Amino acid sequence: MIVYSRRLFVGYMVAFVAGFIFQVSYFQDSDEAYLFPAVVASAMLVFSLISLFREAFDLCVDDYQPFPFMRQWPVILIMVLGVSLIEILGMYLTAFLILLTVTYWYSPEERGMKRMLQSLGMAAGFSVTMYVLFSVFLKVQVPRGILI
Amino acid sequence: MEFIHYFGDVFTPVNFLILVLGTIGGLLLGATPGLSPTMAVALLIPFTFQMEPASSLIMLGAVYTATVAGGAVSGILVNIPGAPANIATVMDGYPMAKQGRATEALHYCFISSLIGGVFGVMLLIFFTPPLAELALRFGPAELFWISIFGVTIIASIGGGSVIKGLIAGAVGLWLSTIGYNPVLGTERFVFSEHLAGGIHVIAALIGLFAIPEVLALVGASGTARGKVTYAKWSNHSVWKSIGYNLRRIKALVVGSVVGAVVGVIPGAGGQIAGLIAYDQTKKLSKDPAKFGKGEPDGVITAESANNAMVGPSLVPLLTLGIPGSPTAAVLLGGLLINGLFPGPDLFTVHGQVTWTFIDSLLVGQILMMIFGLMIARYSVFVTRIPKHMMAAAVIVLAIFGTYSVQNSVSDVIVMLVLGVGMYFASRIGFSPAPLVLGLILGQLTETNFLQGRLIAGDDPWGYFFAGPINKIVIALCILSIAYAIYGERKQIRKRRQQQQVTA
Repeated sequence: MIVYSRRLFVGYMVAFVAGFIFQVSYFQDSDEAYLFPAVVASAMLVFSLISLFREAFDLCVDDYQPFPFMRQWPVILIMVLGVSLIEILGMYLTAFLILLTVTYWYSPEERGMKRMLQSLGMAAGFSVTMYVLFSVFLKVQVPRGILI
Repeated sequence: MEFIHYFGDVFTPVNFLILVLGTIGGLLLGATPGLSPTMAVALLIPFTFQMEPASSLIMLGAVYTATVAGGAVSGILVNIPGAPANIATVMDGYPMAKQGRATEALHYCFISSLIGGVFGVMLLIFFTPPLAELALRFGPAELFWISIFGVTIIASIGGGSVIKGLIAGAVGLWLSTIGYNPVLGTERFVFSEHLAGGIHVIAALIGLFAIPEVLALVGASGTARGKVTYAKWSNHSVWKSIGYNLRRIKALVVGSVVGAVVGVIPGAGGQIAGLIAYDQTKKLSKDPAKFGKGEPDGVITAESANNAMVGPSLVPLLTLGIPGSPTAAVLLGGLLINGLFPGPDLFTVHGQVTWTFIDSLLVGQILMMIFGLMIARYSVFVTRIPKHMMAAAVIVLAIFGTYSVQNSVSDVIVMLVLGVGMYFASRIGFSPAPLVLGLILGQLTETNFLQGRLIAGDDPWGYFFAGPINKIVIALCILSIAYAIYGERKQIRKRRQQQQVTA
């Protein structure tokens, strides 16, 4: 029953998103410019309704895979914060902080000096490698921040 | 025999160095569990921007070839396939390693990879130019249907639910319309300033393939390391392995032919090639009971198949713009970035770049075997890199790589949003491959659709549905979907029967 409800929920969600895309694509003033996206959105809506029908009448297999969100939310947060800080702190400092926090947070070592030193070493080493690769060899202009 | 004239360009100091580095890097990346060939090629594309087109394609081609073979190393040594293409190799490779025959298994892996790979590239060399000539007969209507065929076949053959594959393909096509209309120039769906220039293909590729793997890596970090058992090493003569390998003609022929056929079918990919070849070789064997217990033929056929797939997977890509595998789809992004559009022009206007690239694939196969045999023993160390460090490194590479495409933080934001979204979508049965293909082929599809409508005038139905090529391609679209639905229904029936038995 739980599996059925979950699948039905996914079916409704997909149909809702497809419906939204259809709505923004189909009802536009400039018909010619929106013709292709409208055709694609119509096809998407039809497919999503077929998918919902299949979920509702149990005509498909359950392809849901669980995800350990409690383990994953910190890395999502770190990535979002990191990207929002790029233009303030600069690319290399941000990269260093992302490397440090991700390796420290997810390290299987006991919390303590050893874990911190391992994370610091990895973050520093990889940041320097990125600097040499991107700024020295490839000469890519990256955002400069308060330090570098 | 035009390809022979361009071998010299592969051996220029810069190109050859790139080929060597790409091969070694690809072997190590392939051996690293969690880094798929598709993600490796996607992450590398930004690094090639500063290079000449030929050098950049040599790098991407070398990494593509070597990651497929390198993925077998971790599979044989620690029972974790480096890539989905190596699943069949593990079935006999790991039991061989457990018996103390790891060196021998790795020898068979690289030698048969070379044989299958060379066979595949030779097919690419001889079949691509005539097919590209055929593409000259295609007008906007035919090209429109070819693009739709590319999306539908990858959606239906890529595994999983057909309808979800088609939805993902449609989402990809729709995402490609964000930004400007390619014919009329009208701005569309710019909900945020970050979408003003549309969604850049490379940002999307990196996000869709790298970020879900980061989330999977952190999800699994600290869970599997303790259970890994490393294989014991033993000495085994390379010459003995070559001699034995060459005598296993049946396994090599089955693997190479199956791999080549599967490679040409858009969307099928190396995973299917290895498994079909393994199954066929087992059925043809005098003693099928030996398979799964350390039978060298299992390794030989699986590895020759997944490398024989590489060359032919580029045939529909270079002629019609339809990739034969998800990695080939990413490679298409690399071609477009270098201003190279699939079709006959690749062999006329850009002949030097294209033939140098194809020749490098041939040379790359030989280098892959040489370096594979040399570094296989040491590449086991990359399998010991902790998952949390791998995840951190991939995040930073993804951010740097995406930013360097257009020096835009907006691209990085788009990459991140698409990547996180794709991870959760993959958990409910959606695959990134059809979405990526829809995104890549979107602009081509729309341009041909709009041009076709202009040519058709008052009779668009007559224009798009008439003509033998249109009818054949439409029939192929319907057939591919129908075949996939049939396969899915068979799978559902089988699972239900299994559930009834267990209940």
